Amino acid sequence: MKTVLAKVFRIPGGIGATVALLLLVQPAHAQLMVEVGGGVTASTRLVRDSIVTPIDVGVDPGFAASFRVGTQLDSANTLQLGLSLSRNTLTRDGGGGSTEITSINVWFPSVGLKRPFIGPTAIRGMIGALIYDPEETVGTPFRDGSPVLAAAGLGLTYTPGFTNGLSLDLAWDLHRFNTSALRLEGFGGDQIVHRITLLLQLGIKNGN
Amino acid sequence: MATKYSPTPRRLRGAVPVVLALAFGAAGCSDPQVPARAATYQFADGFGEVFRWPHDRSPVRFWVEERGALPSYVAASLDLWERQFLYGEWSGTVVDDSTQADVIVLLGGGTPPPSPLTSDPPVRACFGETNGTVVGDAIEGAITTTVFWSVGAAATDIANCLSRVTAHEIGHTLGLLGHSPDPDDLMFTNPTVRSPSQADKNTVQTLYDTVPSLAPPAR
Repeated sequence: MKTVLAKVFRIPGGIGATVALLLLVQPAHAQLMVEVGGGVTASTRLVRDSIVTPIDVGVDPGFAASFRVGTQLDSANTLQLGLSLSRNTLTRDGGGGSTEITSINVWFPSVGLKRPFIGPTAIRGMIGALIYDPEETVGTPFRDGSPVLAAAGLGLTYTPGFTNGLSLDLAWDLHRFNTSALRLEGFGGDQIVHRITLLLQLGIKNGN
Repeated sequence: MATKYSPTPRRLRGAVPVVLALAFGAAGCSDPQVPARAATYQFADGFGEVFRWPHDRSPVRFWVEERGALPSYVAASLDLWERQFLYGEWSGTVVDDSTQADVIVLLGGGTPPPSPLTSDPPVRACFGETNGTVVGDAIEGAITTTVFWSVGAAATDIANCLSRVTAHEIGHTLGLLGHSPDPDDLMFTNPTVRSPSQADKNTVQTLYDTVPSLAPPAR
C-alpha cells in the first residue's frame, strides 16, 4: 500500500501541486464541489500473446470507487481533481479455459475540466496516471514492476433535477499498456486499453 | 436575420483538444508485436508423454526434508521457476504435511558439511533423480525427487552442486521430462548453471501452453 501511495503521489506534477493549483485558481467567491461515487468498471485486454495457442490477459469487470473535488473557474467550467480505484481480477483466457492470475487494484489519479453539456448532463475531459497494483507480482507481467501509465478520458454525468445531488456518471478512458517484463520478453509496442466506468455518485457543494 | 442560439457546438469546443489528444494517442501505435517463442529442447519423456500441472493446481505443494540447506535450495528453486512465467501458469509452495504434498524432495545420504554458495567453477559433486509412477494416463501418488551428494568432495563444491541440481530436478517436477543438449541450460543433463536460461524459459512456457497427455496425481 505504501508503494502504491508513493506512486500515486509521484505522478507528474504531483497531487500536492495540483491541489495547490486548485486553491490558487479558486476565486474567493467560488464553490468547492465534491463528488463521491461507486459502481463498476470494465476494460479491454491488457496483453495478447500466443505461445502455442492465443492467450488474452486482462482485468475482469470489478467494483469501482471515485472521489473528485472541483472548483468553478467561471460560469461554465469546473476544474476537478480526482482519484478513482477499481478492484479487479487479473485473468488469463486461452487454451480452452480462463484462469485467475491475481487480484489487482487499478488507481487513476486525474485532473480534469467539467462543463455543462446538453440539458441535465455535464461533460468532462481528464488526464492522469494509471497505476496497476497487483497482489502477486512473481510470474505475472508485473514481475519487474508496475509502470505509471499516462491516461486520458471523457466522462458524461447525468443529474436529474429531482435526485438531490445524486447523478449517474459514465466515463471512458484509455492508456497504452506495457511493462518491463513484457518488453524483456520481447513484446514490441504498447497495447491500447480502453476502460468504461459506470458510477452512481453523490455531489456535495460547499461555499458561497 | 435572427440567429437561433444553439449551445451544443460551443459547449463541445472544450472537449475537442481532449478528443484530439486521445485520437493521436490511439493512432500512435498498433497492436504490440508478440515475441516468437518455441521449445528449444524436448519436454516430453522418452515415450512421448507430456506432463504439466494444470493451472488450477497452483500452487503445487512441495514437502522438503529438513536436512542441511535443502529447504533453502528448494525455496530458491521454486522462486526461480515461478519467475519464468508471465501469466501465473505455475507456482509452488512448501507444505509441512508430506501426506498433502504433490512433490516430495529428499536428500540422499547423510547431512552434507555446511558451506555458503560461492561462484566457484562447477564441480560435479552431486546428482539427482525425479520419479513418478504412471498408471494409465495419470501419475499416481506424489512425485519424488532425491538429490545425492558425493562423499569426499569439498564442502563448497557440494553446496554449489546441490543448489544447481535441486533447481534442475525441480524443473523435472514441473514437467520438463527431457534434457537440453546445451550446457548453458539448467536442464542440461549435468547442469553447470544455477538458473534457467532463455531456452529453459521458452521451453517451459511452451510446455505450459501445451495440452498434456498425463494427468497429475489426485489430491
